[in-house]
Amino acid sequence: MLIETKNLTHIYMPGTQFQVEALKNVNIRIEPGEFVGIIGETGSGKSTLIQHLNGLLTPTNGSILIDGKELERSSANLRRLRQRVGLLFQFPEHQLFEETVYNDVAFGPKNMGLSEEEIAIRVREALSLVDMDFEQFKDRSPFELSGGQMRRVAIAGVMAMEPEVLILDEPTAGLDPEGRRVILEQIKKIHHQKKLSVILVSHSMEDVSRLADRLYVIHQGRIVLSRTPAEVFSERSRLEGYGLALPPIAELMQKLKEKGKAVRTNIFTITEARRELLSLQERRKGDV
Amino acid sequence: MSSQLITVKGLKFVYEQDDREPVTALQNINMEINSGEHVAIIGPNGSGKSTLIKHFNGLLVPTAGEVIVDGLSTKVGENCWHIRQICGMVFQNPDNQIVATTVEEDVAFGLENLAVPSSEIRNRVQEALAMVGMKGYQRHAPHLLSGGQKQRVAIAGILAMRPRCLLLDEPTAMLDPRGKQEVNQIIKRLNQEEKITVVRVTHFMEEAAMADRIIVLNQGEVALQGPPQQVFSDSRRLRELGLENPPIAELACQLREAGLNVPTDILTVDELVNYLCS
Repeated sequence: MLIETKNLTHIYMPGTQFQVEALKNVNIRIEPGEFVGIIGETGSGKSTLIQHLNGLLTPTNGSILIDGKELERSSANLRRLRQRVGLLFQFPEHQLFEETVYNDVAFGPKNMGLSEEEIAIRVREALSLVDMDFEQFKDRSPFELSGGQMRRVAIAGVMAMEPEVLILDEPTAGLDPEGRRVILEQIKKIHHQKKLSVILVSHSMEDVSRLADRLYVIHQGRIVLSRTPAEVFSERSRLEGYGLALPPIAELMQKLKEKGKAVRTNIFTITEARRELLSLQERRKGDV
Repeated sequence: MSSQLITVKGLKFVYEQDDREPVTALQNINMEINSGEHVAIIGPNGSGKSTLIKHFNGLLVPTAGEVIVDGLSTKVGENCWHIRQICGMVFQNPDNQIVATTVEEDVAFGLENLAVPSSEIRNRVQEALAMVGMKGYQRHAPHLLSGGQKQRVAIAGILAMRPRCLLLDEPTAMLDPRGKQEVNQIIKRLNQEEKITVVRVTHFMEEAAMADRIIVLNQGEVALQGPPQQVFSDSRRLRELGLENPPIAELACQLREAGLNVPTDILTVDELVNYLCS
């Protein structure tokens, strides 16, 4: 599924003294199967943007295009869109509400009018996508689980609708390093196995740089950069102006470069940095 | 004045639940927090970090053992008011801590409850707002501030009560990079310049690296403790505990293992840049 926005503008509370222009002429394009990161500081318009992509918000101006066709806002269309575009809000564990993990994950498919058998298949598969054992967890209350597990149940609930696009708003916020690692790996696996498009919204440059093929940087309601993570991270001073911090490894490589070291700057993992710095050392020895 | 502000002796804490097995959240905890120290408590989710810090101002009371704050046991009910004035707590979500419609009233809330005279309240509110870099925001509506500003207002509300110790339970978890940086700078300054003792729970290893001492909890017990340089020098042990080194410390560790002569106390980008360029 191809999603585009054309000159999308959104104004909250127009015509009042509280009027805020949250998005200004935003043009983005998410190809089928692509993994895109949206980064920007709090208040930059990230959440407003993604809520347009599954029809929760209506553009003030401009339009949303699905597979090249402008989205018509009939209730049947919007309903269909929300099944195809799964949106996971920040702290999604606050939205769990059923008595058992099974019922919670089954809620979406049930509303889609699927048969009990089909629902059971979907719940089983969705839980396995987030590495939760069906027998072990199906009858447990979601509220007895750890924070990381609750978040995985929430992801399973979205995946059980078999969306073509998965949008995640800050999926690692508030988790410990291990919880962060597990969630990010599962998102990567879901993207790989289900061949869906993923849109990851985050202010953590580190998380998005590990996963996304391409980044949109949003600042004060405008898209200000749209490139690969390596290209985006090479714009250190601009990013700082947008209130964004480079991942420490990328910052290290750039500062070394600024000090005259012959290192590549399109590096943001520890493994790559280690290799680059060791080879720099070898080269230096070679010179002596 | 003794330099020990908080003393924990043989602390055990059990969560009693109505229809379920009791859960032991903390056990065998012995430690001291000294006046003026900056301590970070880290550990995986469920390791007991928040439970521990809530013992430091009597929000939780030990099932066994004792917590002594400024010479007073938290077990004695009437000590509670004094202890909470000495040790003020700031939580993760600033939105849950804001109670008033203007910044000034919000910061004054604690003082009003202590029946401080109003002229004195005004002075202390101004002083507290200046300390967190929010001077001039008295009349602003707290809900329209940024996340970092809201959290600074929450900290000011505690500072207005002139505590000797700030207890911070993941104060930056919900903030963006700019907000995190603002709050971290304030915390550092309050500790170094105002000599306020800081105990902070965090999931961010870079923040733990700012402390004088790190305490690592695992399954309700102290698994490791020491200065950041020491705790972060053993990346295998940290990983076993479900934690990881801050990226730069990890890279320094790996370079060392590969035979480079990188010092063990490197934690920040600038430190590593300086070493590599020297």
